[in-house]
Amino acid sequence: MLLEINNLSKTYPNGVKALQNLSLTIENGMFGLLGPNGAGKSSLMRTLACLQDPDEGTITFNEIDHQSNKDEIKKTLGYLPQEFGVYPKISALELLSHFAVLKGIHNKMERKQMVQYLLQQVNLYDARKKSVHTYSGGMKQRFGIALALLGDPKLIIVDEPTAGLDPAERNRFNNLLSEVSENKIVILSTHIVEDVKDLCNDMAIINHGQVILNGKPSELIQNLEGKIWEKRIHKNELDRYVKEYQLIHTHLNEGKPQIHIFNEENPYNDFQAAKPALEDVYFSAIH
Amino acid sequence: MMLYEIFRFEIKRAFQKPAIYLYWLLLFLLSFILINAAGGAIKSINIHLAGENVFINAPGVLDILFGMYSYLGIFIVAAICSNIVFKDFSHNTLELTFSTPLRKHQYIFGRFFAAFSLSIFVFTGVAIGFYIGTLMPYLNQSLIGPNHFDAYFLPYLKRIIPNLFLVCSIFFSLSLLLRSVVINWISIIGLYVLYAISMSLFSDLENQNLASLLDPFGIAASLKVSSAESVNDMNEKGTQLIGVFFYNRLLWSFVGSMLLLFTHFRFRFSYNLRRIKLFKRRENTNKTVSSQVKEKIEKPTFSQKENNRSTVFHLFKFELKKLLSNVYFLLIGLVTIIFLFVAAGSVGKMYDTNTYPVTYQMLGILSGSVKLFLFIVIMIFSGEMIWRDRDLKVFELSQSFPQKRWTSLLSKFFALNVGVILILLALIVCGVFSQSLAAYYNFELGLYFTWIFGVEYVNYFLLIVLAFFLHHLINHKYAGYVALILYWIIDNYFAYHLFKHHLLVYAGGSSITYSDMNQFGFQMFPYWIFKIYWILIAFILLIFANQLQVTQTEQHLKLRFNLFANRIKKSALRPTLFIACITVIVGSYIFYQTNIQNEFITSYENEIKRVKYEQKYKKFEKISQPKITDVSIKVDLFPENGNVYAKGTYQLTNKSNQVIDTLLVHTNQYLKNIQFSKAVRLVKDDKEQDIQLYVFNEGLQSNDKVKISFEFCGENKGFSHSGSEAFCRQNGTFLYNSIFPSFGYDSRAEISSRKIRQKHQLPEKELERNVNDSWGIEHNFITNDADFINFNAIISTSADQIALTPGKKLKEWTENNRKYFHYQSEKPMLNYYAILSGRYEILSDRWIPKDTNQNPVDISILYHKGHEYNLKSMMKGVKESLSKYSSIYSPYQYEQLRIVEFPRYSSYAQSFPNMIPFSEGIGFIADLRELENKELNFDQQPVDYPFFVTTHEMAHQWWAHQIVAADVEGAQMLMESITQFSALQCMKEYYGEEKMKKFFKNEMNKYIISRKQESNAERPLSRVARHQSTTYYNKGSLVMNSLNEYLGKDRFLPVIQSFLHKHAFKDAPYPTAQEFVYELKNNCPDSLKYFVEDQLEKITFYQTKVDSANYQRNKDFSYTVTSSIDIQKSYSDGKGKATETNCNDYIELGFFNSKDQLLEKRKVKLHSGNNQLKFQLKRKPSYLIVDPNYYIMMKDYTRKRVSINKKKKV
Repeated sequence: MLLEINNLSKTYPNGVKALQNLSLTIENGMFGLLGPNGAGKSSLMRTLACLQDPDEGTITFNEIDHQSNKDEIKKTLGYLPQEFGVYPKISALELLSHFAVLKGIHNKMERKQMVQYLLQQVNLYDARKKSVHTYSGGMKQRFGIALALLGDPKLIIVDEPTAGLDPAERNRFNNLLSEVSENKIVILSTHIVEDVKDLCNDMAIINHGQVILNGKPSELIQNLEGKIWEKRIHKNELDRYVKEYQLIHTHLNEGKPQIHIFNEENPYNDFQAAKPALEDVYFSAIH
Repeated sequence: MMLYEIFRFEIKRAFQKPAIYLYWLLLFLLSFILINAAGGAIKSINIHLAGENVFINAPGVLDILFGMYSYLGIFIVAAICSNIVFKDFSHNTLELTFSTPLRKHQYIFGRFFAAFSLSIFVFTGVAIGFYIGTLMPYLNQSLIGPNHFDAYFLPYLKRIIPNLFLVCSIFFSLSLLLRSVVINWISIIGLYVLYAISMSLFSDLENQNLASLLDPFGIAASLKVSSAESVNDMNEKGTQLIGVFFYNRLLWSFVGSMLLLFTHFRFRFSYNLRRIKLFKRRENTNKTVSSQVKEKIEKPTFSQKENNRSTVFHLFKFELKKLLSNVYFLLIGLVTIIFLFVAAGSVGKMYDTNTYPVTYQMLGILSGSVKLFLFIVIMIFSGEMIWRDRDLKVFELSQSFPQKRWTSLLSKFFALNVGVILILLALIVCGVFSQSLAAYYNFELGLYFTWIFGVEYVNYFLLIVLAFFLHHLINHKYAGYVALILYWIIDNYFAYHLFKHHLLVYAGGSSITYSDMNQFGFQMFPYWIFKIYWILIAFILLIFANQLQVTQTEQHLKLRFNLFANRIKKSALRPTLFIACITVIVGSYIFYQTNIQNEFITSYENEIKRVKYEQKYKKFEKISQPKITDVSIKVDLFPENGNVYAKGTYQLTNKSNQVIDTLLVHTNQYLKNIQFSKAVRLVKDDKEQDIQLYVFNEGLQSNDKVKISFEFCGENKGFSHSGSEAFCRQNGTFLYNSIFPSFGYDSRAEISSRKIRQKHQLPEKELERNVNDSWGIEHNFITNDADFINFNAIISTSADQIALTPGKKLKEWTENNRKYFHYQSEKPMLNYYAILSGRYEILSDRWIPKDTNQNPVDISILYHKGHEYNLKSMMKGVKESLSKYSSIYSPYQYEQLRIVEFPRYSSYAQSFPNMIPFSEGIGFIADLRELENKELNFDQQPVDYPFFVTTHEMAHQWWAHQIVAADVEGAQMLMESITQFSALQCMKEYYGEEKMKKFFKNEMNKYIISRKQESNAERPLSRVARHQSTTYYNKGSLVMNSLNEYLGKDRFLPVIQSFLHKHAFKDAPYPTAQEFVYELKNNCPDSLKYFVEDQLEKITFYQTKVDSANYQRNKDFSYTVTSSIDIQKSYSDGKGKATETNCNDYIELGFFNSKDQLLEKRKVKLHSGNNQLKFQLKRKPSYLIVDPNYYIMMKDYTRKRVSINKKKKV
């Protein structure tokens, strides 16, 4: 499995440059795509899911050209959009079966087995006769994964799937994702750094439609070893630190701002060495 | 104040968006264009908003039109309301709004008044559009009257604002309570159905008050209160807000207010959407299923393949299930079915009498109003289907599946088609059911299916294609709906004005009428060839729709266009071109048939043709022409293929005392080989006007004769724009002698409309020749080129048919497997005959006169098998007529009489010498089963109009075929009014005086309401013009009846009789109405001369009012009635302007007891103003009626009962 994205560019009619000369090579396993809101993640995802055409650049999946073989690609594609609805008054069973036909599973018996298998895999078997639009957020996302898994796809694209889920549901969902990622490419777009850290063996950070960092999470963290420093400061001092140091991010700790800065060497001044996390990678990259 | 804040906010928000201005502009333009069209801005279009004498901006016209706009424009109101109501639902601001400290009444009324005010604002476009339209300098100024502010303003108070209030409250309330957009569509259908029901009720005089209240738009009510208006009234004022119109406005405004209050109480601020639930679905609460499959299922093996057929089938089932489980789909289906039952309750109503619900009548309902319902189904659900994925946000998901574009399109397309088919099937079932409810059991299922699926369905198919195409093209859900509604309006009202040819009007084609006799005749082929052309185009549209489908998240115009072009290039180019080629071939074939092989002439071209005819040939109008004296024809009819071949010979005689050298011959493209027995030369052959001018080498001297022979070759040349062009029908041929040559300029071909004549700079035309016009007196009004002729005809037809024409049947034989019939006139007859042929059943009878000097008459009714219902009534009518007329007028002149049924392409009966063709559409299938039902009162019983029509046509055997009027004004009084009167004498004999009242009431109403439509100037009966049919039929029968009554039978009938005897079978000079009036005056007492004058030579109206009526019992048990009655009399001019005049006239008063029995009637002399009257009666009266038998004209057609109360002792 090999997905190659070469020099992808996309400018929307309103002038927004969603993708700028973006290239990536993605291999088997979970691939995390991190970036702030509006970075171009969804544009990239939709382009990969054949829902929009790039202005320039190519995508090849296992040496099949994406643009000219959309139907071929769609057969091996599982896509879970950022936001999706379902038809009302249809049970999970029926709905999944409906989409299975669209995936090309015409044999009734096979379809039935497939649907049952998937519902069990995403742990919705008990709720299979319930109407999907009555599902909770987490159930609905799991159902979405079942949809994406129809027909054993080789390329799965999930766009911010855990947004709005409670921690338990998020956990369950992530487990599910990692379970299904064997022998497939799973591209997970998110702005939740932790998800990437937990799940992905490879990742990229994009902003303004460009790839800023690309690599294995562990290696990227490794690169920052000894260069991240932290300090608790007073609110009023924040402006000064922003001016003087390369501030990566601030978060509140017991109500007081705790800042992380990037510095090749020890900045002293009461800063303490911090163990770099993926968060630091992310924030240092997008600043 | 919060309520005002909300109101202001909504208004402001609406004015920031373009929609409100677009609606305003739409109404503005529609009004502006309409007034321009009516004002003659476009030469080729003639539109009349009211009678031609009414100004296009007359208050009466504006009033009605504004009413119509507020009725047709409720789509816009629906859009405004749902926009305001659904803002919170669609923009997900519901929770925000509901969490503010708003009070419920502020929320509801603030928004309601915003919607209401916005609707009013939008509708100001109507008045402004009309007003500015009238100012345009290029319009025909003589059509425009003075503009009054009131004329524009008052209709808002009377009609638009109350209507908007009602529909706003309905749309607003229902959509707020049910939270659904579709409910607005349903409300629109509901309102239109209610309107349609009211209008159909309104046509029955007994139900007019009910209908007036029931119509939510007040149109019926305003018609009711303005029914007696004249042209002059319409020019001066709009409908008065009085009587039932006022109550109607009050009632519906009240309904609107109540609905709002109800909404106020029912509405809950809550997020939970309340939906209509027809069935409560049982939720599966059984938890035990959960642990059934505990063991982990192994990953199944499966095959993934492309199987489009299976995909389409699956998706089709999916879509169909969605459609059929949609509450609104079911609701519209239900309303449609209810409508069918309502409409089936009054099929084919004539004279307040239904016909049997024969299958074609039921099919007529299906092809009529039901179309609108199915259009709405198609419009709504095509949009719902196409937009479902995007509305529900399933779009991104479903588009990532490897599904072929066309499978999605096709499955939706099939599902909607099947949905429509299911409704049609349900309608068939209901049609059959409603037939059996009317105890009619001849179910022609085959015909139902042939009509629905062989004729009607293709139109829905084409409509669905168009809906799919437009929705995909426009790619905006509501704009798509608007486009479809615009299409519907244009298609129904303007398309043929604009594009004229079926090849240019989407889904156009020649129309098709089913007749029991002729079935589909030769019409199916032309019908389908046009449809095939459009189906081919529909395929292209469907391909385009497929390529226009949105499969991506980006949807801007340029991208969609590029995508479309690429897709076409990639996969659809060849099939598209291929279909386009076939379309061009089929189109060319049609064009060849309609425009080259046959003539295609637009109504404007026809207008020009008539103008040219007048300009070129008017100079020949008064030159003498020889008259036909003998006609001999041999006609061969071929019902198998529609061909007609004929040969004929005319003998003409110069009956004038001048030498004739030029002969003007009206010919046609099928006539050839016109030969003269005298030397002539053809000096002009005008192919455009089909006129030939011949000059006799030696002039035709007085009393000289000339023979002319001709051949007619009427070959069936395929089809023209209007359908089959076959002369001969498969069954039920009906040909007039106008297919043969005729002579002399025909002034009847001139354009009579004043407006159109002005447009073409033609001089003003006198509608009818003056009574002193010597040329007119010399010619009869039926045919100008002959007096009475001798007629001889041999007609042949196929072996299974009978051919008929006037004259006595002398012989009948078979030759070469064809039937031949020889007819010959027994007595000279008018040059007016028809040729009929069909497969007939025959009912024969014989009338034996009481008077032995007269001949017995052989009667036969030739009818279509299955139409036996009313033969008895007709036969009775013939016999009664023969007895009655031969006793009061003169003996019947022939030995035979035939009534012949013909297909319902026209609905009339017509009298030829001894032959009466009678349409299957009237009389033959009238439902008279309740005729003898004594439980019904007179008003509920059917009218035996087969009997009445028969006696009317029979009377023409005397009044037309014995005595024929001169071609001058008032001819129709002699021909039709006396005929109506004659028929009434027969009716009276059979059904009694009481039952006639219902008839008179209808006649009075028809005359009164028609006055404002008068295009020229109303004339008194003795000078009536030929277009004034309500004067000579409806007023005519009332007037003749009143003369008979006032003058007395013994005076009136002898005048008629001697008049007839004096002129019967005589050539020119022909009798005139003036002469008849003169005779009548000579034979009536001086005291009643005024009455003859008022009734025949003037337009007279009375107005009466009974102020009081009391009785007192006398000692001898008799009763003294005292009453005070006001009366006014006026004469009206041609435009309806009334001038009051002195009244000193006899008026009949009728006294009735409490059982509605007449106690006594008296004619009393009433003077203008107040009259105090005293009567002695033997029995106790309950009420009195002024003029109970409809002898005098009063604008109020009802004859009010005034109860007579016991006089209080002083």
